[in-house]
Amino acid sequence: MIQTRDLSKTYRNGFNAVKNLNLHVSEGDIFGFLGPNGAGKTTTIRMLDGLLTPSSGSISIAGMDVTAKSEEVRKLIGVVPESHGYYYWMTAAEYLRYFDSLFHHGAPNDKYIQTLLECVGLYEKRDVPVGQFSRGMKQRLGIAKALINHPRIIFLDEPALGLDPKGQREIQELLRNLNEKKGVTVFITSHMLKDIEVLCSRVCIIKDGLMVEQGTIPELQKRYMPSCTLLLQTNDNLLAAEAIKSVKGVRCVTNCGNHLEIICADKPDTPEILAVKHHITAAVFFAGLDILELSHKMLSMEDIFFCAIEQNGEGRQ
Amino acid sequence: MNVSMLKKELSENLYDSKGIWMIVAVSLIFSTLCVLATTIKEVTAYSQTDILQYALKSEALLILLVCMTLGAACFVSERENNTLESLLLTPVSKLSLTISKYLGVLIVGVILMLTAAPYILAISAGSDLSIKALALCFGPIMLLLMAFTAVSVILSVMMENSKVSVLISALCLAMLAIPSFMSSIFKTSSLGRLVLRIDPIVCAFELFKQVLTATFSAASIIQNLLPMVLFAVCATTAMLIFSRQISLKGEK
Repeated sequence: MIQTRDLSKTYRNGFNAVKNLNLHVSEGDIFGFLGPNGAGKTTTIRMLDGLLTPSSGSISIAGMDVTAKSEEVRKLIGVVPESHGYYYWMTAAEYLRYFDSLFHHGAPNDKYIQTLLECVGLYEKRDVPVGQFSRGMKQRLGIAKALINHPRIIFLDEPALGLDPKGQREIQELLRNLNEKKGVTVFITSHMLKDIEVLCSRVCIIKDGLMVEQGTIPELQKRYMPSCTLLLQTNDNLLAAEAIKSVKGVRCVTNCGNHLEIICADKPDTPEILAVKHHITAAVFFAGLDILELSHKMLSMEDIFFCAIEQNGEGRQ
Repeated sequence: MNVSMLKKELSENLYDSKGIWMIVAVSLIFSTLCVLATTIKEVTAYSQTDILQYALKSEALLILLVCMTLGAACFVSERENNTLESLLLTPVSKLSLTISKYLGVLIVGVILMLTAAPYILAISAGSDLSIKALALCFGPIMLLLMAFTAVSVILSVMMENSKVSVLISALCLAMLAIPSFMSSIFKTSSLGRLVLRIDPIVCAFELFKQVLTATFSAASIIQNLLPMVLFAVCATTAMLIFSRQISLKGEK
């Protein structure tokens, strides 16, 4: 759906914002695009939506070159920019009608606008001026506006910025519904790594304009956690730690207070790990203790992000 | 040109009592002039043509000032309010966007002209100057309006800050208006005389005088109209060319 090849952008002052970026987003993906501040995320989105011309490289969206066919591409995409302004004197319905008329030339489709307002939970506020909206409501209106042209792809640049937890969850659910029920491909940048972990099927991490990682979250978890880490909680963790230390396949046991972190010699999802877990269970029971919880420690998106940024200082091309 | 965009521009330019205040301002100024012309002894000593000239000059400068301010803010305010990005993401071309903004400001100027028209008619009542005055109102002033609005839209595209854009627009107007108030000084040098010949505002005011005092000829009309027409054509063409430069904040 989205393909970039050696995409680069150098601004007139000589600043290299994006360097040789190769992205691949399949149709129906919810794609997370992450990076520290100034990494080039917004520049990339602006090139993808045709607002900025790349210095070199190519971008293809639904098989069309973005630079050559920008007008056709704009009909396929919806964008919720990071700094999204509104016409505060317009009501929500007027705002959507206005953009509908810009996309479709002619009388606005009031029925579809009503559906959109209901979808984003703003139908009750359709006649309220946008100037009276809260930040969350404005963000939802921005998403509704991005959907006005029935896009196949929606780009969101920091959609949860400044929202309270309720607002963040509402946006999350909205995007998930869009993806699952309408098959919209979602391309999202965010610093809310927990949201990305929950929502996204694939992620890309960039730093200083260069891609440092790309893949599904499970792939990245395996890549950055070469050995399996287990979490164990018993009724006496100190005793359990002593009992487990000598188990074959256990490299290190750390007491974290209310649980133990057991680093194993082998990778996760291997037959050896199954055997290690059996041995650990047996050792705990042999020590006369109860197992309250035994689970795999999964790397969070935050862990992956920091590992990727710190380990890949130069970035990958 | 997108009709919805034009409607939105008009609503925005006239929204929030802005439009009402502009119309009130024009009405106040002309009402004051009419009251002065009819009640103050010293002012009543002036001839009808003189008062009409003052009225037309005031109308021209007032409408140009208002429209240049609106034009100077049209793109730069979209950029500052972060609404330009959403517009550029629609299939509407930059040229269409520019024309809609330009016409949105121009129509406000025409509304102000129509507001001033009854006062012009009142001042010229009882003489054969009404038609001439209206022709001057909707002729040369319209040409100046088209030209200066285009200049202000160009500045709005190029500047990143609305204050700077409005200030430079006002300075452009002032630079071209000042020679008309200091014509006796300008006439003393050849450069000054050249400036007076090509300055569109000076030519407009000279045309007002010649038409109202019936001292015009075909040659003088052409001589005074030509700089205005050329200025309008060049400014409008430049505006259409500069429309390609519309960009987001900080893009350069």
